[in-house]
Amino acid sequence: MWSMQRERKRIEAVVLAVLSISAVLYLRYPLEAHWLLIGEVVALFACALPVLVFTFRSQRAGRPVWSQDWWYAAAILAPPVLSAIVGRIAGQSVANEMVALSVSGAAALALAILASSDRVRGMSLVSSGFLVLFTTSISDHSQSVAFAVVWMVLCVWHLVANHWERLELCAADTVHRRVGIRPLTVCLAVTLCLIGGLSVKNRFGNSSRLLWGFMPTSGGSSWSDPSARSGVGDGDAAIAAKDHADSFGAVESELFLESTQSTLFDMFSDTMGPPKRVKKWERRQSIASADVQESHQRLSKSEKGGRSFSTDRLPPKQHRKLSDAVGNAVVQWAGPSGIRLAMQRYDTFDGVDWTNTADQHQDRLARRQFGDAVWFLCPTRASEATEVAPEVGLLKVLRLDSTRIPTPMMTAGLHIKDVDRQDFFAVDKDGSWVMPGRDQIPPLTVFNVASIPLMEDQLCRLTTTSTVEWSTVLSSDVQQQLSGLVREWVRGHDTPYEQLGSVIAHLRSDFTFDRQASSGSGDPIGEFLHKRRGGDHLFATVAALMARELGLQARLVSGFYVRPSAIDLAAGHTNVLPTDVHTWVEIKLDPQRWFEVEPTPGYQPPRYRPSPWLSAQRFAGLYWPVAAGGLLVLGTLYMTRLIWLEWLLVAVWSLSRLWKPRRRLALAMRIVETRAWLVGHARPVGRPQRDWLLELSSLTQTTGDQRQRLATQFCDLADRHFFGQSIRSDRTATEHHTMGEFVSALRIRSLKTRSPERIG
Amino acid sequence: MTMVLKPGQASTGNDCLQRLRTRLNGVLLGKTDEIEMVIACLLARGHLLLDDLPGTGKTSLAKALADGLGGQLSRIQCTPDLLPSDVTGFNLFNQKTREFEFHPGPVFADVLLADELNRTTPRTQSALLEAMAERQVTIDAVPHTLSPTFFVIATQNPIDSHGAYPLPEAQLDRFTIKMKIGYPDRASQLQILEAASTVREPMSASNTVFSLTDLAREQQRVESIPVHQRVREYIVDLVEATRSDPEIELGVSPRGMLHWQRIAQAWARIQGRDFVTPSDVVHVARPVLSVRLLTTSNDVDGVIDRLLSTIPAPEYR
Repeated sequence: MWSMQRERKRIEAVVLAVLSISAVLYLRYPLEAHWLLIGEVVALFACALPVLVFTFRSQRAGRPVWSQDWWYAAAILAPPVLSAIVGRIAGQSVANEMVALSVSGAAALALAILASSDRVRGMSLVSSGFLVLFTTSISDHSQSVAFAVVWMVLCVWHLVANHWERLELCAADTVHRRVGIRPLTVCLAVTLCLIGGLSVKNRFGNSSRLLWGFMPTSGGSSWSDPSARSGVGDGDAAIAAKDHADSFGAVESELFLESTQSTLFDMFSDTMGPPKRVKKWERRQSIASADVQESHQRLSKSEKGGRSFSTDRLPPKQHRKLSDAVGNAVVQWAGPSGIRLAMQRYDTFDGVDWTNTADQHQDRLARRQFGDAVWFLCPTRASEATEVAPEVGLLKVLRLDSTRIPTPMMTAGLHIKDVDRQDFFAVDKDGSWVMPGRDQIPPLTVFNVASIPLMEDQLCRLTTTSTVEWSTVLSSDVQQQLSGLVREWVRGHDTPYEQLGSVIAHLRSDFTFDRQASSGSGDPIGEFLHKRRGGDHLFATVAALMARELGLQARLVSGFYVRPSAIDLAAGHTNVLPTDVHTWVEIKLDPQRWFEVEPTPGYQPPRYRPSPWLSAQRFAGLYWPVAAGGLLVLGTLYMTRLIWLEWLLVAVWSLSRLWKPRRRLALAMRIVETRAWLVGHARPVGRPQRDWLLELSSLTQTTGDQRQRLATQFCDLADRHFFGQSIRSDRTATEHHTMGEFVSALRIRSLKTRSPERIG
Repeated sequence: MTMVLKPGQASTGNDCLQRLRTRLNGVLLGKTDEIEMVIACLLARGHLLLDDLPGTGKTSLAKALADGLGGQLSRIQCTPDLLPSDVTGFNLFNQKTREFEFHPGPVFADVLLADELNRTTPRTQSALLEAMAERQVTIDAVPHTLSPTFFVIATQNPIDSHGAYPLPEAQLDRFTIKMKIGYPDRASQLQILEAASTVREPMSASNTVFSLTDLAREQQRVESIPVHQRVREYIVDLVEATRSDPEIELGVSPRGMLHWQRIAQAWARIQGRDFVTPSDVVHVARPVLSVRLLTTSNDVDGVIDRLLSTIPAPEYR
């Protein structure tokens, strides 16, 4: 018994060590050469298995394994080290950190196999547990939590078994032995951990980012680490950037100073076509040359600054440049892709042009310090930012000739490393973020942008304003066409959110996106509605007008779209090109919050995740007939349970006809016990089955003697088989007959007609 | 917890047992279960402690038993001035032959009834108990063996405890079971009165229904009845539970465990079986445990019930 305990302990410790090694493998598998990795694993197990078998044999024989421990341990530790050396020779190098992790995994395995005392086994447990937790926390996939959970369950199982006897004695009073203590304890531990994990889940949402820089990316040298990442914001970023030109380190090289920088206006003109210029300034009369210069300057500034956005544009020029993606990036964004970075907002439409008339100017931002970092938050969103965990992305501005900062939706604040000056940031009149007092944002500036995520629950509470805000800017038949489309599309939807969703969905599915389609006629919107083709600015304009018809406040936003296909996985960021300029719509949720919608097909819509409560509600709404039907079926099954359970038991009994008498006796007893339990007269734990059965069969009101005789015969037979020594097999037929009679005599119905006293 | 068995029904044992049973039931009316237990104790080579009120028929029982076995009955009335030599015997100097003669004491009998054992001094108690345990008496360095089927019925009166020397637990452990006969029921009392008022013919001389050699052979057979491994484990589980229970100060000793197994074997023999079942163990549990458990509360029965209901019995599996 004692040696069985030790074997079990050894096996369980080995299993835990193997689990930690596989967690490390899961981490390494996507990054390294597969043949090397698999070879290392095979070598490790080829060394470990003989040692394990040998240890078991010598333990069974009683010999201690003292003298050759070191050789065995070295044999198990050799494969990871050797494979690293082999890999380096072969050119498929393995990162030093990964080698260290593998070696510690092999050490845990060696300790587990060769442990002769509980203390050493405990060391093995500690090291395999540390390894599992560490690899889980630095892993990129959230599914690697499974390793940690499985390890924890097995460890609890192991520890409970080690201290089983003491636990049993403590619970001796209430032990029923129907549900084992060990599974119960493990379930309890798992439930506690799950509850704990869920309760802290959203508080430390960004802990994975804390560890981003933890694993030192050992520079950018090519010969050793394919898994080194030129990380964002880690300590070695400066070193990494020297070789790796598009990393986020602050670099003083002259690589970037020669390239041209374009403004937003230029980029729009390049991709969507330049706006048609109404030659207003030809109406001027003779002005002094100094005034002419001023007015020229003013005009060029306004072209450059882009204070208005025209929907009436000429077709764009076709460029035949072959440009490489990396070299041309305007900004780089390290964060979720498929989002939009807003730069300009326009809320007034006069039929052709969009301009901004609102004033949401904020000069003085709220300064907050979180740890070492100083953040400047928009005053209207400052309180929200401290309650809800914001999502932080990193933005590196490379070639943008503007003072405006491209920010994602619902940006609460900005932070630049080491900058603690109030005059660095401000919010402009249209609500976009700017760096005031400059000509442009200095190139290679890295911003940390905190945006507040929005849950779909809040959107479902969208309400319409009482004043429907559309003015007679369009010609009447275009307006009628627009209204007709709106009315047709919102049929069947009640809430404003659903109506908006339907309008957007119809726009995305019924219209085609074509940037080359504008022909430059005088009525871009009418043409768009007629031909059902157009650029994204027309989509956005129509969507905003339709939203206004629904009673929602909408505004046009221009900026960049972070294309999911342009992610640079090795570098960890996305390059935003000049061709990624985009226009979309923002809808007002409440005075401080505007949320974006994407009416253009081909661009990813914004993701508003529903809270668990909302998804549960939706699920219930969809599946309630199924649930009701299921409940009904279960209810009928429960009410008639005695009937069909009895049939089931009789069927089981008749199927067991071919068994040996001994097994059949046990089955018969089990059937009668089940029947009694169903009726409510379960056998108490300490009562021997014979006593209980005789009492059960004697307390019936009718034909008690008959039943008691059968019960006594059955019990005698069973006692002889199970507790007696010799089993005479020549009376099998009569035995089966006795059993059959007994089982059929004690049916549920007959048990139920007893007087309802509890059998003590 | 009574077994629903009538004397003539399920036990198909030896004729001798049956006759002994009939004889004893004829003497002690309406106490069939208690008679069964007494016979089991006899077959298990153990000794009986009766914790009973006066006048319930203990002496009649002992007499009938001795008669039935064809052996000798001796009786000790334990008083505080009883000496150990009054129990075991003594060497008397014979003037005529000028040698010491051994005069055997009451223990040199087949059935000994020791009344009110808790009234005599501890010295005398230990003399008797030692004789019970070893079946041998040493007087002046000369050992004298007792009868191989020596059977002691000791009684205690639960009411009077003034001037009593209660038996210590270590000594109580030498008894196999403790029983209570108690008052008979109404029908039996009517029967007793009726039997007392009729003229009885004199008893025949040879009333032996179960000779001593037969008894010895039966006792050996009982010792060799096989006990299944799971039943043994059940007994050990119960015994270990008595040792770790918070309400029990002193649990069952290994000697007590042996007594338990032996009397379970005897009970199985009486039922006519040649193997021991868990219900045998449970049935003899109360008499076996009540003599040797020391509980913190006064409710020994409750403690025994709780113990039996906690430890699961082996099942048909």
